[in-house]
Amino acid sequence: MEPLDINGLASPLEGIRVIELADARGEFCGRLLGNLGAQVVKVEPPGGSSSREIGPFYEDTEGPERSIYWWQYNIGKQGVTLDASKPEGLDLLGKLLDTADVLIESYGPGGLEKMGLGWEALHKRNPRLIVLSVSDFGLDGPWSDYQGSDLIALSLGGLVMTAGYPPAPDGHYDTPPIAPQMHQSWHLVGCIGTMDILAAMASRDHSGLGQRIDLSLHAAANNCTENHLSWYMIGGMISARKPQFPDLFTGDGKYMQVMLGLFRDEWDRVVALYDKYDMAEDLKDPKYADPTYRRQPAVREHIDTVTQTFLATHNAEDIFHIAQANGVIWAPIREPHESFDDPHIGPRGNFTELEHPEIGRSITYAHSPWVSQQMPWRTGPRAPRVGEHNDSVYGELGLSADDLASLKAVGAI
Amino acid sequence: MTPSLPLAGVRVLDFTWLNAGAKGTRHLSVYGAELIHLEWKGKLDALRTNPPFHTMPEEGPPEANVGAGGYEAMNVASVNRAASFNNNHSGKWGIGLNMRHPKGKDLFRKLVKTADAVVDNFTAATLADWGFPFEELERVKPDIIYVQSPGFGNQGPYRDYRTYGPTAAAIAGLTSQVGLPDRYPCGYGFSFMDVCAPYFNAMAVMAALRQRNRTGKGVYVDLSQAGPAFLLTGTSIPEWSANGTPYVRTGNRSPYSPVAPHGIYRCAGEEAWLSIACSTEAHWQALVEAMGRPKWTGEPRFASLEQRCANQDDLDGLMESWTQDKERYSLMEQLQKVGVPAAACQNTRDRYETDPQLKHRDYFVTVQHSEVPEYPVEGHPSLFSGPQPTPRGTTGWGAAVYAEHNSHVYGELLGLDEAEMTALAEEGVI
Repeated sequence: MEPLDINGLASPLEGIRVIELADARGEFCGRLLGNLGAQVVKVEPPGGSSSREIGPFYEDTEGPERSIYWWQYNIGKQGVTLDASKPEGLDLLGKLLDTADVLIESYGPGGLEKMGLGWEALHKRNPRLIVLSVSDFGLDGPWSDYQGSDLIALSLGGLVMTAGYPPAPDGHYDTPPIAPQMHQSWHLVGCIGTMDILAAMASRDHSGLGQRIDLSLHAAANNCTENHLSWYMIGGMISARKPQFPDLFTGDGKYMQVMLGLFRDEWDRVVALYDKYDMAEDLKDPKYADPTYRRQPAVREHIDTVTQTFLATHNAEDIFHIAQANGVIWAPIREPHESFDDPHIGPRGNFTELEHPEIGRSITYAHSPWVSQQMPWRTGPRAPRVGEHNDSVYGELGLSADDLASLKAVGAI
Repeated sequence: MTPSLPLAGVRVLDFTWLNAGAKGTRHLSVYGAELIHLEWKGKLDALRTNPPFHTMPEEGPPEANVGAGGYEAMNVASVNRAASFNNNHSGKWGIGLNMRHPKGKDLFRKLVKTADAVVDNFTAATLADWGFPFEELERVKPDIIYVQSPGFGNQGPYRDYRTYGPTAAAIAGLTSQVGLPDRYPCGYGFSFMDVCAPYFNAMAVMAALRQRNRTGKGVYVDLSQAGPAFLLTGTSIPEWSANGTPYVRTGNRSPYSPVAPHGIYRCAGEEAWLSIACSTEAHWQALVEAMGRPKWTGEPRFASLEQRCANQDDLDGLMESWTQDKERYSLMEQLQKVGVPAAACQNTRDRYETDPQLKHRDYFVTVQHSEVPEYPVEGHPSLFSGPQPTPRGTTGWGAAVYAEHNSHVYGELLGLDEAEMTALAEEGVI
């Protein structure tokens, strides 16, 4: 196998082989494991994975090799095709799994079992194998056969009911709650699944045995709303819809994530900042130090007005640095690409450019969440084309060119 | 031999506070690592004094209330009764340690010698100012792991800048992606990065343990709260790079796959909503059947998925005229029974009291506490075929009251006797 480690440093999951037999819901997990150094083999049906149908598309033209979604979530993986519904394909899948440390699958309740690859069978066959089963609601339970989607998971998980716009002046909501975009439940499953697999590998180091992990979009989304569940369970508090920041704009017409005194000393810093520019108006009055007073609608409106006046005298990026230099924890509402040239974020490795030789150019992707000399985030290469690594991956299993040709002839790869 | 939890035998010195720090080490505790949470009474976690608070038996049950929630410091009778803190630190050992006192530093050195990892989410320079940059930690314990998570990270011009969850989401672009196309971005209704950065924190520690086991050397990770957020912005970064186009907010509609109806529809009652997402013809046909085949569903403008996507304004209005007088859970069940992806939009009460699937998975776990009555906390979202990760951690208990485990840690672990510990407490060290 050609070395994938282009950072020149061994990674924590060096030598770990992951077979990803999952649809879009499992792809972020595979990508993260690859970033940590695992060799990830993405198994697609012969025509290509359904996630290649998810947009956006390169130059807005659809096609299995043009899905930016596919590119983003399959960086660093090796791609093979396989049709497990064909006996030859199933046999080949078994051989692949015999070489694997981790299987990520998303067939849903009973899916693997129907193929004769249920947990007991897999565990007997390869006792060290760790299986992460990603499903909408879990492998059993009253909702396990229900239909899911990203929106469905975010709705049941509570992310939806807290997000959106304030009610109309008559007190009634004239807009529905607004769901987060970008398939966040798939991200949550990716993050939690990656933690779970790292934990299961630690377990395996002691016991020598793999285990099966049942992770659902529904449970992952429910893990996500800060302490809101505890606020209800302990304090009877039902979190209501709340925009992340007030509808105020800066001098250059942008939005700012202002925080108007989350904690006691913060309010003082905000007022000191306004005061520095002689724009604190009456906010230095000690009565404002009381958060209960500040929460009264008319008072809040007044604070917003003072804040709006301050914001309107500066550009968003200037306010960011002025605020932070004065201990005020604000940031501009940027779009993701607006940090490309940021002097802090870019140099920390948050972005990387990967070559796409087929289109003769490189594409920028989100990259490392951390800086570490001893444990760098591994990158690239770009996501595989359909069946790109059939020859190398299956060749390693001992299949000859003739074998591959006959598998192709019966539609098994 | 009884199988043990995955991280059994791993010891982590945990300086974390607020959600962005404490939730990461909580995951490690849930997986079986021994978390020693170090605090000092001179500067406690603000969440120790933030509502809501546990109700003591003599106070009667709490009143239900609907509010946006929020964080603000309160004058409190006890720092051990805050719901957020008592969830974040469930299963951890709690000790008091004054890191500014020379004797506190000595004790810390002794603890580091016994530990696998040190984790904090203070501002970047804090541990270094106390005399413990990674180099010093490594000198004390050559294979130590140190993961720090200041808002923007340690390396770079913003090292002294700070974040809360919303600050990190704002700078990375997450906030800009949520909202209606014709209004300002409403963003998330809570601190998404207070939950997501901790996933990366726990990943970093577990990956570093593996790296250490391979190399025998220490690992330093300069993580941040903002850094992981970029990985959660979906396709926006490569789309901008490839096509030069930004993501344009689509409200609740599906921007990248043809799905219609794909929306959140009003149901009977105040703030009662149902989500529906029909990505296939089978979903649509089942929905039409469930609605009793109203005439409009047969119109050419809704004849195909492509047509339905093109006419979503009309479609959404007609859908809502059907849903608005119906009870959301009955409707969810009616639709799901015939294969239509539908979901009640659940609030915290729904999730805790009603959701049968979370109950089936034993998502809520009751823990004990030395000051407040036993209480429920969130468990782990995944189910393991091996020993199940648990918020009871290695203490088998909920959160510790302040400095509850001083004698366990300083006495049993470091071997100090009663008189020494009393003297250290009197000197303001522990």
